[in-house]
Amino acid sequence: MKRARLIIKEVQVTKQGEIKNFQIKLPKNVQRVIAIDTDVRIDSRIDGFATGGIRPAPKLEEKPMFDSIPIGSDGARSAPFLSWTLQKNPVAGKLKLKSMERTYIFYEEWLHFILFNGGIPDMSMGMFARSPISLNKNRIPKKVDVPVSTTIVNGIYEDTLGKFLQQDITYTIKVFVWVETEEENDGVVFDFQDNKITTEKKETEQHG
Amino acid sequence: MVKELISEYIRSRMEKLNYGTEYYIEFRHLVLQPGQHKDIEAYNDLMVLVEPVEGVNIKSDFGMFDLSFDRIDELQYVHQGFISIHNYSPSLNHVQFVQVTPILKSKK
Repeated sequence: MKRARLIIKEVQVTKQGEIKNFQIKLPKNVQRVIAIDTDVRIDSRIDGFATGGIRPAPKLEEKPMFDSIPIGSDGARSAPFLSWTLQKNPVAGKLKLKSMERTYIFYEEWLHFILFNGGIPDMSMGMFARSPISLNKNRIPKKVDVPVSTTIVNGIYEDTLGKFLQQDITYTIKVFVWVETEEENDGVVFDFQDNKITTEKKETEQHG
Repeated sequence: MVKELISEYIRSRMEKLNYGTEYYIEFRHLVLQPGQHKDIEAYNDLMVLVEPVEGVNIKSDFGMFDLSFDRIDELQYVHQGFISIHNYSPSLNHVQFVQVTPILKSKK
């Protein structure tokens, strides 16, 4: 098995509906792309999308970003008092990756912001502060298998969050490209690497 | 794109993609009425834009070409798959493409 290395590319988005084209340069001893991971870091303030309850209660003079609860003529919210609040992870945009020696797009993903405790209902019914500790799971690199003979991966990213909210939101996306190089393995094997050799060895040992 | 460059680009690109000389070339000259929207399902054909056109938005999965769009850092001359073309100018517009259709290996 060959050694895996990580290439990181950062792209900053500043305008609503912006389309960014970029190239990820791979090392010259690269053999194949084996996994892709992504991350989004917010540089300007954004509120989470809250649905399904009265918490967090936005002030009436502030227009909430996404309000599914109609406000009555007297200004009161027609929602039950004790209801859960669910914070969703907003979609930031779409990422596509394409190898130079192929005509098709080999990787495509909608990128999300990960908010603290996003997707977890507010069990405290708004009476206690929510835990600042995130219950989100760590991201896992998505396995791909793209043999490459050139050292460039073309990427295109299109913002949808700013377009949806109709405002310029500044954020940085990170694309992590795991590649397998010609170098010999130094003993570290990642989950997403093809462990065919290891299993073959184990089988031989067992039979032997 | 410079016209001499197009033929050279297509030749080398198809060779690198292992099609060699097994492809057809067709010239597509689209005439778009003001405000007209046209979709082309190009699948794996390469649609190479011959020259820049003003007032037209060409969009596919591989990128966008629009001289007036200020939120893009690079314009795409080569498109594939589902291509959406919109003439948003108040006048008639002409868009010229070279369509490169690879011959399927099973049909040879």
